[in-house]
Amino acid sequence: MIAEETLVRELKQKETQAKAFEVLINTYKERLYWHIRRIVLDHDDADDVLQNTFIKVFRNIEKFKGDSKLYSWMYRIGTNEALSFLKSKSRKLGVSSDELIERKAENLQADIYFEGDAIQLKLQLAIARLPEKQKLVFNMKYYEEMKYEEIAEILDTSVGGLKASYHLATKKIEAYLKAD
Amino acid sequence: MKEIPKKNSFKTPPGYFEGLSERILSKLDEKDAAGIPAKEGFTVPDGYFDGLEKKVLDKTLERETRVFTLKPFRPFLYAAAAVAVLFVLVIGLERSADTTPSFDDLAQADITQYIESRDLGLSSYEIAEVLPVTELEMEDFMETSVEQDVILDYLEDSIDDLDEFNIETHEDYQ
Repeated sequence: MIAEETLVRELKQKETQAKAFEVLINTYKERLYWHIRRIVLDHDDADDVLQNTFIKVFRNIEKFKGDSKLYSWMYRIGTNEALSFLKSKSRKLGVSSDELIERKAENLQADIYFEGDAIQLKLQLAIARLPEKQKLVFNMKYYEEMKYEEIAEILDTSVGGLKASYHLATKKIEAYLKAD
Repeated sequence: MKEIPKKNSFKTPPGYFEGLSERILSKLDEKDAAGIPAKEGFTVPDGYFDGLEKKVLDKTLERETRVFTLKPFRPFLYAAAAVAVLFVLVIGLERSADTTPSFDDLAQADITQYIESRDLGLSSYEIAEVLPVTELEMEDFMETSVEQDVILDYLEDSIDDLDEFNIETHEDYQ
């Protein structure tokens, strides 16, 4: 696998940019897709947001100074893109972002790209009802198996706060799954 | 100690040790000790990730290399813009003397035409996402309510064999 510094250097040079960008997409497409999909829930929206994320990465690579890891920077762009997407969509529909995501979770049963059973459907309803930060932390820690330090860098917050959010999120989800 | 037989009397189901490591590893993957499922159930269309690079590259690299040469037209554009600004100012000053039209001045047909021709920027899927279908009544779609008898009379007059519409009696559904 190509070293991150080399990849960033190649992305910034016109002659090597195209090839390096292809490598970048290939390396991160699946991880970023699943991160975005967990936020927006349906495939079509995840596809739109993923493409916009890569386009933003491409357009802003000059501004990347290497203060954080490249993937953290990309995750931050992806997260912001997904949240902005939900905000703009909910504004168009005249509902709040929370309401939109709850309705999306309720509609998963009819989604051809969701084949979860009753428990998995209930799990998505439970996650949809969490506050935004708890939702992000839970998905990144439980499903994406990220370290608290990595999540803190992406979400620009403290590890202590993340641990508290994760604890609260799991308790709420467990309680929701146990309830009838 | 010699009396104590050393032979193992315990048995395992046939083929138990085959694939045991995979079964243990898959249990570790599940990590659902807290009762939260390890898998979410999301899927993607077949081959989705294969075609992704091309889609993104088409949207970025091509756009970056597109060049527009507008310079030779610049003097003409400035002149045209100046004339347009003057024209808009003159018209605007003349119109400012008129009273502003109110909502009541608009004909019903104009309003309907405006709504029909306007692009709301929402697909029918997006509208369906928030439309509470279960709470909708026939009256929400129709200006005047129609009695059931009237509907039945209409169907009887305009359809040759009303029985064809009755699923319960239709031969294809027997």
